[in-house]
Formats: sequence, C-alpha cells, structure tokens
Amino acid sequence: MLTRLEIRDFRCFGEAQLELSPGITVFEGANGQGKTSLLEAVFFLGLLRSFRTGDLRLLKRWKCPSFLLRGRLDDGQEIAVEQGAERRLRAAGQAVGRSSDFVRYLGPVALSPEDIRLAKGPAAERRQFLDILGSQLSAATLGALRDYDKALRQRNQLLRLQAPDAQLRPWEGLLARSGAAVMQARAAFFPDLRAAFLDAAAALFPAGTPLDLKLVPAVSAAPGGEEESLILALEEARPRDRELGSTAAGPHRDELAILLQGRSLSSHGSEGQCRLAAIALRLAAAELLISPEAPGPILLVDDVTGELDSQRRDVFLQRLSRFPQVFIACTECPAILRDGGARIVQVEGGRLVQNAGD
Amino acid sequence: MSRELQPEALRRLAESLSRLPGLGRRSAERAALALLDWKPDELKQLAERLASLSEDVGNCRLCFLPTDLRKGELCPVCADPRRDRSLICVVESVSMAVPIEKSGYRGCYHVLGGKLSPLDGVGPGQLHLESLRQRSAEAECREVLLATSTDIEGQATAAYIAELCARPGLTLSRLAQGIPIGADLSHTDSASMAMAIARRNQF
Ligand SMILES: [Zn+2]
Repeated sequence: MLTRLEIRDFRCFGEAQLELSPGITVFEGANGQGKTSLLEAVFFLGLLRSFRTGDLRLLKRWKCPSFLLRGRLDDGQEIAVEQGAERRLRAAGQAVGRSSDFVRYLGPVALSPEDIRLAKGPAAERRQFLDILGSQLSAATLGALRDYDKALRQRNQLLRLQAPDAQLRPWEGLLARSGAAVMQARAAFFPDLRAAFLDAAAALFPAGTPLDLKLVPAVSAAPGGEEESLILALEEARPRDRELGSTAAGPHRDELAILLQGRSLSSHGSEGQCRLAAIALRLAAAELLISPEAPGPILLVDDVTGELDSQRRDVFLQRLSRFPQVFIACTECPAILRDGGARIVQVEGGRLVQNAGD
Repeated sequence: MSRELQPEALRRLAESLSRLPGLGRRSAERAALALLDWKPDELKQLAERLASLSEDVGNCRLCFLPTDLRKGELCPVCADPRRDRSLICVVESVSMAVPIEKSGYRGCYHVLGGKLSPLDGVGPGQLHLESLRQRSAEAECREVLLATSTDIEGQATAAYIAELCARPGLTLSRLAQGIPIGADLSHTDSASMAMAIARRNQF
C-alpha cells in the first residue's frame, strides 16, 4: 500500500506530491488533465512498465531528460525509480540492481478500457496477463519467465541458422528447466484464478451466464514430469521447428481460454461480454494478490464503468471496497463512491487539489 | 562538448577510449582532454606502451590467458610446474579468472573468449572450445570446473562444454552459487537466496 506519492516530470506533471490513504481514492478531472497519468505513475512505480504504452519515451514530460517517481509504503519504506536514458532504482535507502527485486513492492493491477483486448484479442494477450500475475505472485516465476524467454529467442536463432543438434541441446535443457517452472507456477495458481474469475463474473454478468475459464497447456505433462515432457517435445519438434524457424512446443504457446457455453468468448462473445469478462479477469488477478506473501494489490481503475449499466456499475464499484487500496480515474465521481466516503482528488492540468473533509 | 572545440584527433581518441569498460562518451572525452595536458615525452611513452601491447602480449598457447610473448608461448600459470594440471577452470574472460586466482586456486585455466549467444553471432566456432576439448581429453586432466557466468548464456555455454568434454574418468563441476560471505542477508537479492536455499548444505 502507498501512503505517499511524489512525481517529477512525468507526463503532464512537473512536480506533484500526494498523501495517500487506504481504501478508495477518486482522481476526478476532465479528459487530458492527468488523472489517468496518475494511475500510470503508480503502475510504473510498481511494475516498471506502463499499461498504456510500450514506449517509455512518451512517459517523460516534454523536453525533460528523465522522470522520477517516489512512493512511501505503509511500512515506512521508500521506493523510487528515476527513468532517463538509464534507469535508477532505490528501495529502503539502497540502490536496487535488478528490476525483479524492485517489482516486488507494490503489486499494482490496472483496469482500463483497453483491457477488452484481454478477452477479444489473441491468446498472447491472455498469456501476458498470466505472466504478469505469475511474476507478481512469485519472484522465482519472474526469473523463470525471463530465462525461458531468453533461451527461446536463442534457440529460435539457432533454428534459423540450421545449427546442428549439439548446439540446440544446451538451450533446450534450459528451456525445459525454466519452462517447467513456468508450467508448475501456472498450474498452481490457476484454480484460485478460475474461482475468483467465476465469482467476479457471477456478480457482473446476468444470472446464469455459462462462463468458464480454462488453462490449456501446449505440452501436456504429469505433475512433476514437466521438464522431461518439455525435453521430449522439443527434441521431437526439431525437424518441423527448423522448417518454421521457431519453437512450436512449450508454455509460450499455452492458452488461457475464456469460455461462453463451452465456446471461445473471443470469437463468439459480444463486445459487451468481452468487456465484462476482461474486468472479471482483472478483478480475479487482484483477488489473488490479496495474500500475506504478495504485495498489494493496488487496484488502478481507469474509467471502465462507462461500459456498465447503472446496476452493474454499482455492483462493480461496491466490489472494489474489498481491496486494501484503490485509485479510480473518472470525469465525475459516481454517487455511490461519494456517499461511501471515497476520498476525492481533483486533477487539473497536471495539478492536484485535495478536497479534505469533503 | 560542442564539435567546434574538438579537433578531429581529439574526437577520434575519445571515440577509442569510450570503448573501455566503465568509460562512457562523456568520461572518454574528459580523459582525452586530460591527455592534452601531458608532456610530449609522456604521451610518447604511453603510445609506445600501447603499441607494445600487440607486439609483446599475446595469448598463452594452452589456456589463452594473456602472456608476455618475450618470455615464451606459455603463461606463468601453464609454465609453473607446481600448478595442478589435473584441474582446468573454464572462464569466459581474463577478468573472470582474476578473483579465482586471488582465492588461492592452484589449478590451471582455460579462457573461452566469450559465451555462447547465437543472437549476438557467437557460436562454438567463435570460442576457444576445440582446444579445450583436446586439453580435457588428455589423460592428466581429471576435472573441468565450469566457471562461466550464471546468466542463461553462461549456463548454456557450461552445458555445451559438459557435453563436448564428457568422457569416463573426467569430473565436470560448476561453481557453487549462493550468498556472498559477509553479506547482509536482509539485502540479498531473491535469485541468490533461492539458489542458496536450493543448494543448502547439511549443518
Ligand atoms: Zn596458460
């Protein structure tokens, strides 16, 4: 949880400080005033990436060499990231070398209108969702994912070069070891994710909507036998992989399928259903992060309520109160939050006005 | 620094210096400027020392450690009869052999000259691997210690060598990983801690 946020030269913000409290805080302002950038700042401080863009250069304030984000946690520790041509990370008064050690502190989960891609988009979107959640749940999983990705790119390069098997084998061994760790981690948290998804979906969808969530591994393996199964699958696929110049078998091809009446929601669901399912999936992820071992979660909600009718919108907003800290960006604070005692911060042209005791 | 204040010779020197580890473009420019203040004979001596690097220093015929070619083809380690020839420690570069040597290690070395990384164009042909295979195949060699780096490329390199050199009677070992001696446990990074726990020793 964050108790204070400091921003310098981020998006439209020159310098801004904000004391934060647990529960729901609403950033209220017209479009383009910086309310979504505040959510983005918290997200970046947590995960060192943006939920809006992959281009870090867009995050700096116009003509500034770098931006700085600093947060104080509820245990009094401070974490900070300065991002310019290089990135500097600090936590608890010490420089942090690895980003994987830095991303353990906050545990942000963002809900934004672009999330429809989660349900409507290709399988890669849902895999990325699984990977970020897995990384937030365990630093070891983040390490395994990084190793896997690197070994995969190296093996693919060797395939394109038509290198002999002796050169492929070391990378296959590393792929199998890291891939097995990824598969085991996914299998371990998936039942909880499914249960939390079905629970959230039941609240958001009309009663009786036959939804389900399924994890479909690309390589099936007995529990404990993942590494061996991967080794065999990679070896077996070598001739075809050589032709394609890429690796067909492995957890980078696992599917997280959202099913509506047993059929893929992404191809058979309406746009409205996809939006609701994406919200349910994000809420489920946040639910999993409520755990003594994981940080946060800090829920960042970027005006997704426009997609909901008033009844479901209230159900959704009420549901947010179960999370320890929630930041919501919207043009006008919904009555149910105002009445529920949410804190309101006005955002105007990169400046913050707190309505204390409102 | 603005281009007007930088004669061609100075800029080219800074460009060369910036390839040194730890020197960015800025500090390379500063170093080049500092050299401007040196006396002509001091600069000449530096130039001679640089020139002699390529003439007098080469790689050891056996292990590829840098050595003084005026004193023979073998480095001081390979030439020392008291070193343990049954043990070969494989490192990626000379800088990685330095801490091992300082630890009191008494075996021999083999410098690969890098690590496998197909994406960077480094395959087995770019490393000193065939000579390693030959050395490890000799009867006097009993153990190859794989001290490549701990990242994924270092691990792949170790695995490739293990397969390349494997034969009955040869032990292949890897440097243990874990927590540095004297380290503050509360600030140990998670990957090192995970490795230290996975490879814990009986008390
Ligand atoms: Zn030598």
